[in-house]
Amino acid sequence: MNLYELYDAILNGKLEKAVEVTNQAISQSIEPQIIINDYMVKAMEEIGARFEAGSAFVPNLLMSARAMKGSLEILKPLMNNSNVTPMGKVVVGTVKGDLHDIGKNLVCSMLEGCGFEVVNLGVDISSEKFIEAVKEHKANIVCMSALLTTTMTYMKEVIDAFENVGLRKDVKIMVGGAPLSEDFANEIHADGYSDNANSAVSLAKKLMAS
Amino acid sequence: MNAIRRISFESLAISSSDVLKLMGYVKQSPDAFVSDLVDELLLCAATIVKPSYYFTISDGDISATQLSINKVQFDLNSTIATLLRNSELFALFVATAGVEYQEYHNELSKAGDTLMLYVWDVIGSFIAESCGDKMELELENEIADTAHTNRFSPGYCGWNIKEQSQLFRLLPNGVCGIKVNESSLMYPIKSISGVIGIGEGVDTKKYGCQFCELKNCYKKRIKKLSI
Repeated sequence: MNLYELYDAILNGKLEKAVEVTNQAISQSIEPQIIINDYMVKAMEEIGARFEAGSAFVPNLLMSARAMKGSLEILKPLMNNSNVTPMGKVVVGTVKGDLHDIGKNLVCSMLEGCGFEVVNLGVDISSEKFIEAVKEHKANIVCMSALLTTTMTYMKEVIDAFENVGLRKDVKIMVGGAPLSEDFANEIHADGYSDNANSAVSLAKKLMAS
Repeated sequence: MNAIRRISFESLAISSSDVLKLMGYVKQSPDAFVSDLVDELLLCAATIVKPSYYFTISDGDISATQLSINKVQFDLNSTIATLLRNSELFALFVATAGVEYQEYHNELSKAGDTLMLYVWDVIGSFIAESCGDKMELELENEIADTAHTNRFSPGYCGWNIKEQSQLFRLLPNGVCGIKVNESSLMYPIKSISGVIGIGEGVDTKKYGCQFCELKNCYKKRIKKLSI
C-alpha cells in the first residue's frame, strides 16, 4: 500500500480517503507511530506552511484538521499499546468579554489534528473557569484568545489568578489573537505567543518539551 | 428614525465572491467543495435570516475624552473623541443578523462542524456590516446634506466594551432582539452597535485601517493579498 495517499488525503482535506487509507494501514499492521509521525503530522505541517505562505486558507486548514482527526480517532485505541504518546492536554478559551471564536476554534482543530487533547471552553471565559478546567482535566497548557484591544488585558488577570491559586508553575500559558504581540505576551508573563493556528501548534509542542 | 427596520437578506446583495474574498480567496480560487458550501449557506441564509437595524438621533456633549448623551456618560479614548469633535448631534445605532441567524449558528456549533461554522460566521459578519451600511444610508437620507463621522463601537478603537451596557440604556429595551450579557457582549453575536457624530464640521470617514493598531487583523491580511 502507498501511505503517501494518506499524506495527500490529509493535505487535501479528504476525510473519507484519509480514513480508508488509515484502515488499510492498520490492517497491514503498520505501527501507529509511523502512520502518525511520518505521514499525518507531515501533511499537517505542510498545510500549515502553505497557510503561513498565503497559498492555503482557513477552510483548507479546517478540512485537513478534520481529515487528520478522523484518522486519529481510528488510531487512538491502538495507541495505548504503541510507542505513541499523546502530545499533551490543552485548555482553550476566548477570554471574558470577548465572543470571537473562529480563530480560537481553528487553533483547537489544528491542535487536535496534531495529536493534542483539546478542551474547548468556548467564549467569554472567566479566570475561574480557566482554573477550574485546568484542575478538572489536569491540563498542561492554557491557550487564551482575544480579538479586542479592550479584552486582551483580561489575559493578565487570568495569569495572575493562576499565580494566586498556586497553579502557575504547573501550566504553560500561551496567548493569541489579532491585537496581541510578542511584547504584550512578555509583558503579561505568558509563556508564549503565536499569531496563527499553525505556529500555535509549534509553540505548544515547544512548551511541552520545555 | 425611531422605528426598527426589518430588511430582507436579498436586499443586502451579498454574493458568494464577497464571502470568499473575506475568507482570503482574493487571487486564488477555492476548492469546489468550499465554493459549493458558501453557495449552500448563502441560500440557507436567504431562507432563514431576518436582519434588522435601528437608530435614534440625540443631542450630546463631547469633550476631550468623554461623550455625554441624555445624562449617560461614555469614556472614550482621545482618537474617537477627536473624530467626534464638532458633532452637533449623535446617532445611536444597532444592526443585527438577527435571532434566526444565531439559532442556526448554535445548531452548527452543537453539531461541531467547524468548517460550516466558519463559513456561516463569515456570512454573519457580512450580514451585520451590510445591515449597518443600510442603516447608515437611511441616516444619511434623514440628515440630508449634513456631514457625519464613521461608525464607532464599544470594544473597538480603545472604547471599552463595558460601555456597551450604557449605550443600550439609551436604546429601546430588547431593540432588534438584541440582549447584552453581563460581560457587555451582544447576543445575537453578529450584531453591531455604536455612535455616529453628525455636524457640519465633523471629519467624515477618517477612521480606517490606516489608523488602526491591529497588526494581524484579517482585513489587513486581505488587503495585503489584494496587492
